[in-house]
Amino acid sequence: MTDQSPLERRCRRWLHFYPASYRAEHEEEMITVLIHGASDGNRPKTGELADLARHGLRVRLRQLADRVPSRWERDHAKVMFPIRIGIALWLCLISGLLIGYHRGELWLVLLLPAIAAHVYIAYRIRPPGDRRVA
Amino acid sequence: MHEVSFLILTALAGGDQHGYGIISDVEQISTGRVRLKAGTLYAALDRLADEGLIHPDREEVVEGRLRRYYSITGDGRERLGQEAERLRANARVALRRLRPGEAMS
Repeated sequence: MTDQSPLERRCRRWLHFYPASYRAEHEEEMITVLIHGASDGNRPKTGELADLARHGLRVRLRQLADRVPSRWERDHAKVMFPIRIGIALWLCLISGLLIGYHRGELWLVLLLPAIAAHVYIAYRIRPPGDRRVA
Repeated sequence: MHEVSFLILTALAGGDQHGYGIISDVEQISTGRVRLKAGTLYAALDRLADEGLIHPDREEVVEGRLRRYYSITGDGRERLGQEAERLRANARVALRRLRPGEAMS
């Protein structure tokens, strides 16, 4: 490989928004396109880098959604799913009680994101196809 | 079909092209209106390849830089033809209705 110009180094850095597997497949041809399209030979065109970030993150998210969880993750999820639901319900209960007694205290607002986070995590780690656990 | 997909298929219908060639051709086809960025181009190429409408063909190295050529498949030609017909039919109706005195035809 030839010595990398500052432009090429910069483009390669931005390509790290894409996962390694995608870069292994497309990095070299994308570098060719980016360098060819650079406006003054030194800087990529405005918006070009933001476009890389946007599409790179999208590929990462898609890979994350598609990947198969490991056996450890499945076992962990099986145990943690009812616990997360339990914590969320418990938080609902005490927040209801506290709001009842201390109406208007702003810190109580923090409980709502906490409940939402637990419910969301419980949903994400729910055991696949095993309805009896819930 | 996305306009970007339509334009890329149109570019490849004229012959195999590499990434930057596609960008230049799409710019020309759209008379300068659409200038694809690299991220958008490769997202569209992946989508079209997944749908079996194009496929990566050969590679060559020019001045130390890799170029991968893409070509349109038989399915790609068929889809592009259907899409072009659909757009032509829509455009025909739109232009007819824009003529004075023919609003309801």
